[in-house]
Amino acid sequence: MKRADSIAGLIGLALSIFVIYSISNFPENQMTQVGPAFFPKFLAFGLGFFSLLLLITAFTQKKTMKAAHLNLKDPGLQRAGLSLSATILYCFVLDFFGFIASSVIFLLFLMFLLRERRYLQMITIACVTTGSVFLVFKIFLNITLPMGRLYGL
Amino acid sequence: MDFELFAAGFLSILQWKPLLMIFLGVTGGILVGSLPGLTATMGVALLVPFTFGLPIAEAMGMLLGIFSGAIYGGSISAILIGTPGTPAAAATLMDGYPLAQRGEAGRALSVSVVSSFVGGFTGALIMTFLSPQISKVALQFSAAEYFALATFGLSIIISVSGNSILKGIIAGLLGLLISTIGMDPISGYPRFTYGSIDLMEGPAFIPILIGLFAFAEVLKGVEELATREQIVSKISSVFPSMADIRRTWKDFSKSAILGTFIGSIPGAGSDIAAFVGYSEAKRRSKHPEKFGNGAIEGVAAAESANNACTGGAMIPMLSLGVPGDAVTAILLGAFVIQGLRPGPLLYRDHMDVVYSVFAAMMIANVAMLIVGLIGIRFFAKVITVRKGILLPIIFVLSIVGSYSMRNSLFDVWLALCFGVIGFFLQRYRFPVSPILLALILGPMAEANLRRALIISDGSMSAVLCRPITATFLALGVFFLITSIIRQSRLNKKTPLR
Repeated sequence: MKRADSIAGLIGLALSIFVIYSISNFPENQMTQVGPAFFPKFLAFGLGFFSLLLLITAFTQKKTMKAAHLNLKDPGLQRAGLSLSATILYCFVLDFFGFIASSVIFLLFLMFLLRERRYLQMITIACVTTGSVFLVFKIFLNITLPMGRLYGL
Repeated sequence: MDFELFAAGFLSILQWKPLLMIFLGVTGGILVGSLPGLTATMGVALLVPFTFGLPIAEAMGMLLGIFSGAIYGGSISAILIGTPGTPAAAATLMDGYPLAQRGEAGRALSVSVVSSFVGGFTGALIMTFLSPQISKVALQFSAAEYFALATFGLSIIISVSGNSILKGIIAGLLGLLISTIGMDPISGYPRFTYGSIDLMEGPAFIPILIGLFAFAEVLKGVEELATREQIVSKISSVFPSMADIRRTWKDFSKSAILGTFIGSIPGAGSDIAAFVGYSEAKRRSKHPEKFGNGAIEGVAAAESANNACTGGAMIPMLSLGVPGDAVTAILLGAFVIQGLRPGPLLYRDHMDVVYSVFAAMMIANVAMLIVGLIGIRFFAKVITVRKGILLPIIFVLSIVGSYSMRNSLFDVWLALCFGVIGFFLQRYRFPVSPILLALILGPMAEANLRRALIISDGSMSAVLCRPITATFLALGVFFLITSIIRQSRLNKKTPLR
């Protein structure tokens, strides 16, 4: 965990420096000294202080908690990465292909990725889930999910 | 207490639509709670987007139904497969699972649902009578007091931080910084928006919530895809026997009051309440040696206490606008989405809504008893649903939930971003609840502190030396120090994993 904590400490420090730099351009309230920069400045200094403390603790502490090692060859992590990539792709195509078509394909892909192999059951679940979500949003909430650019052609 | 309004509140809930929503919420909550890995927080977070278009009575009925149902639901998997569905059910496991192994799963489940009902209903009753009194005091508050109240609420960050206090503080500060994105509440100056119109109002709460609690969890679930666990227990009876009721009534009654009290303390969640209730039952018992080996009193005490906590946690949320735990923080967000701000002004301006919430909470507990008893056999089957089916469905619900609030794909990207952040934060043992708490209380703390400073011509001492402000700040410091001491002791006792 030492390495992870050190990286987290460094990210926290970098973020606090970035915030302090960004707020240097904020206008100041001349009367009360409590302009838009007041609260973020206080928080950025706090974040910087505690991140530094985490960094020091990571270097000085002998015993730390074990954390899962970030091994890109780990099948579980690869599966999570693939699911995330599929979700990103799904979000990209959602507007073009519409909610119904994209969701059915997305669900089928994820189920396959998660080792499901009962194809008839998979197709039924994908269609029923997509249809139910679409109808609940359309009928009960009056929210139409993206229909896609191919709709109505 | 205005009994006319109270009756009107009940009548508004006793219509077919709110009742349907409560029953749907309870059923969904029990299902979510019974599935290990899916918490009450996640269930409520996922369902909030479904309540946008609903009237307040129906929306609150559904969400409170999920809240009550999920806390009870956690006991189902704790009893049947020895894995608590929610952290609150960890104490139930100690005696529930041994009972199931002895072939008495039905007995354990039925006592669990009845005790949960007694606890939940008592909590709701105490909430109904106590929170209006607290809100009357809160009506005297000005900006300085509100700032102190928000700071007091933020002091529970340590309690929800788990093993690492330092990481909890960092997560809280990160959440507070995120809450400053958007237009400055006093001057209107755009902060950290970098020209993005989508960020002008600040990052939307629901997508962040879904990202941190649902996306991150499903990514973790995908990574740790395990084999299906088989249930061996048989369910013979769904109703508790009179002998069991006689044996446990003292324990679940005492736990109900204890649980409500613990729930009303910000930061002390239902898991703590369950363990306190359990310990008290064990301490009182003539046969403490039976606890841990299948004592039905242990199941009753733990379940009553953790469900009583739901009503207790609603007390500070409704009367002061300070959430008692992560679920009530989301419920607070759901109120805001409905155009209402919990706190003393809610009691002054929307008393009808407040009484509807009280009624919804009580009826949700009755619904939980009915659904729980009828559904014991069915829920026992549902917990065997394969992750390969369940996780993809949660993926889609999370995306749709993030999109639906503003019909915006930007919010979906936001949820995805926070999902990835949440995944890594959890992986490296950074608690995510402090971020949520900070997002809720950050704007309240900042806006009121600055308002108070402007009123007092920039004098900090004039703000801090007001009696109520000083009391809240002192209480906040007290909570902070006791939480740090408690956590440090716990860390010493628990070996590093």
